[in-house]
Amino acid sequence: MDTLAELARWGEYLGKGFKAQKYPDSQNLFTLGRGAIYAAGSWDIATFNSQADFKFGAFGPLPAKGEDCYISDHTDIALGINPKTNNMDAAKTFLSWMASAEFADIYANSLPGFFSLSNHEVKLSDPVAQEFVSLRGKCKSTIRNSYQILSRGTPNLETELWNASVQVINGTMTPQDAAKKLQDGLDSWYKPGM
Amino acid sequence: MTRNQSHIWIFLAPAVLIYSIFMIYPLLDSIRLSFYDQSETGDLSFAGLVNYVALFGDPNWSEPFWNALINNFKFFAMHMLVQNPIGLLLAAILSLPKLSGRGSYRTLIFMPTMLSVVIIGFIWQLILSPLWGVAEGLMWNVGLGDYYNAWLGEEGSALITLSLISVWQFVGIPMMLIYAALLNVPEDLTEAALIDGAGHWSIFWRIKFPLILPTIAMVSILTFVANFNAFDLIYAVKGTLAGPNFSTDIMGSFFYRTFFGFQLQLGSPTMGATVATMMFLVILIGVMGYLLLIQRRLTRYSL
Repeated sequence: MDTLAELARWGEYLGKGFKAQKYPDSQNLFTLGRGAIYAAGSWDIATFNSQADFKFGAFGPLPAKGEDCYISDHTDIALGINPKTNNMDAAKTFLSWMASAEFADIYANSLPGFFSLSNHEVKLSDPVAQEFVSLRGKCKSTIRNSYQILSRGTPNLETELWNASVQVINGTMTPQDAAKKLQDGLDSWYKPGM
Repeated sequence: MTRNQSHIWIFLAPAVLIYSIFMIYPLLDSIRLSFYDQSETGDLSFAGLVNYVALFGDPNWSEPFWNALINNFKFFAMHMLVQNPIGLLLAAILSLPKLSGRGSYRTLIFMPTMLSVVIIGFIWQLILSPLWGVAEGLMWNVGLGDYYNAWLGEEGSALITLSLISVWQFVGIPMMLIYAALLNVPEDLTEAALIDGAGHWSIFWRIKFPLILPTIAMVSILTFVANFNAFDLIYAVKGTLAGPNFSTDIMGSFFYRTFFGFQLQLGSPTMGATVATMMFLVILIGVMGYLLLIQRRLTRYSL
């Protein structure tokens, strides 16, 4: 609810004609210096490194006073081995390497903005990626709300989130109505603790 | 006699075989699929009318369905009111006896029809874009700048804008069909009318128009079928979500979202098949209505 109310205020800060603006449009506006803040995630670092001719930084969510700061993390991803595989040894070797510090270093540095799943401390050469990673020290980790289980029913939470967020920013739906719609949709098929 | 019959089968066989394998069988199979339900592990089980009950009874399905159907009728209405009259007008102008550069006009107007929808969608998005588009500047130049809006982004105008883009692309088809029909009108008739003192206007409406009416009816039914199968332009410009707030969602895009899913929404082959069956029924009813009510009453003149 508070998030949606915050989102409703963003409309005022968006450029003229933002209702017909698409993701690549926004990327271009930012790299051309016509947008001051670009709201996205660390996955866009590589795009901006190659296109923007100015230095840019990153900042995390700004929590209200006295509240904890959370970043949405991929807490829902894991790697495993199929127990029926014929190549158990090879798979174990590969997986142990994927979990090693060496892999974490190669992965995080060659794909700035993407971080390895392991807990190894990695020295990142990209300053913006380093800023993102440092958020892990300041903020708590949370799930991606509409992923996994919450996107399995009808109506689909992710689809409804996309639609409701757009309407809130456009001002065609109040944050209260949007929050109610999302909660009602979820309540119709999902009971927590099932 | 038996020899004659075997001839019939030999000549029919290629069309019947290909049509059965690639059209009739998939169609029947998707209708069959719509009576099944899929479990979380992907097993299909016969479920009777469950999907249809959900599609019409559950607001999660029925609201987007009726929204898509109504939008589709608006989409069709725009084509009937704009595309076909303009096609008729262009064909009438092209068939004027003293027109130079006829071939160039014909090719130029038909050109967009041959372009890929993806290109059409992309070009028009750029033209109309409030950020980089030329539309706003052009409108300021002629003093209409205040009327400019991000049409593709507004709930009220996005569907109309998309319909007009589609009209712009496909206006060549009614034009060519009607033009061909107009060329078939024998010159004796128009000459006789000219001698009797009729002007071009009354020659067109009194003589040519009744003769090309069957073609216009055919153009209408082709438009109907094409519009209710339309999907590509919406997908190219607006993506799977057919925004804003599903205002550009038509049957094709609704089907795509249901069948293949969106982002994290899992696709449902059985529900998708149900939507596809409804699309088939809508088109079937439309075409049957046309065949029974309109085509029978059309007067054809043998010349």
